[in-house]
Amino acid sequence: MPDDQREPDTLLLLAMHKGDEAAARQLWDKHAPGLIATAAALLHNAGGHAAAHDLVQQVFCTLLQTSRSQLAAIRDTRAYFARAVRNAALNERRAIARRDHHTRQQAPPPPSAPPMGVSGDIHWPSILARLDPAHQEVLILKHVARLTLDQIAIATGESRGVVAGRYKSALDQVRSLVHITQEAL
Amino acid sequence: MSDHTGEPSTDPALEAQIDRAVAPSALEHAPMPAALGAALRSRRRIRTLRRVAAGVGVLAAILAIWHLPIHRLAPTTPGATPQIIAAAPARALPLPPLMLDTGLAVTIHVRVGQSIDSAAVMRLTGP
Repeated sequence: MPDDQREPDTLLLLAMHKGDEAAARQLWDKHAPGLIATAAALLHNAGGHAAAHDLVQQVFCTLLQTSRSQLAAIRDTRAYFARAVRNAALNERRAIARRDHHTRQQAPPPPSAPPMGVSGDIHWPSILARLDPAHQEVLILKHVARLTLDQIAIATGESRGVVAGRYKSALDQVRSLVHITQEAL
Repeated sequence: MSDHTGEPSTDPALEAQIDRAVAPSALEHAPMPAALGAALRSRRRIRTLRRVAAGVGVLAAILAIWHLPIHRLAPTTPGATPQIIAAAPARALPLPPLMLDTGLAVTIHVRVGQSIDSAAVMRLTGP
């Protein structure tokens, strides 16, 4: 693909791959804040801001090891970054789950999920915590990472149709959970 | 009605509620981490070393090929470019093909005075 047909961010990525610090800084300033928020949400805030920051830093460092031809073929940098962060977050979550499994064997069971109604209002974190992981993920990518359904399809490796269906059923699930909460209040 | 990504929204009220609940209100500016800066510096050093190694490799190829016999064959059809054959032992040099071909191309260009691309050199001098 000729350079003039590439996204400006892909050109920055290629420059960063050569070791260009200014290009890396531009990419970091543009994408990192959103990616850190997305990583924190995907990690369910385990480890807090620092863990999410480390994860995004790790993604940027991994990009330097990626082949140049692979980077040159990127059509949507935003979706590519989201995909890299999502995959790294999934790996991190698996590692946390393994660690927790060992810890739980030696410690008392953790408290159950928080109640849905808090202070007479809807408690959104607990509603989102009750969604199944695939639905949670699509909501995070849509509302935290602010990706379009096409970009979510790239980030998750699913077809657009599957993503659209998953988003619709996530909304249905949220709607019914909100309804239950409001009735309980 | 479309949502924040510009896509048609199925339930604007609910989506707006989710947006308010989960979207980060203000994205924190995070300075570029020092580890990434260090990785970039290391990347630049590796690239420079690779370039130097490639230059040295091409130079070695030129020096090794320089004394080998190179023949010019008459073209088989009138008007065609004369075929150039560098001695086959050049292929046996323990160098990566790209360096070897560049060395051959430079040597042939200087000694025979004809520009020849490395693909043609590879074809003409192949085993």
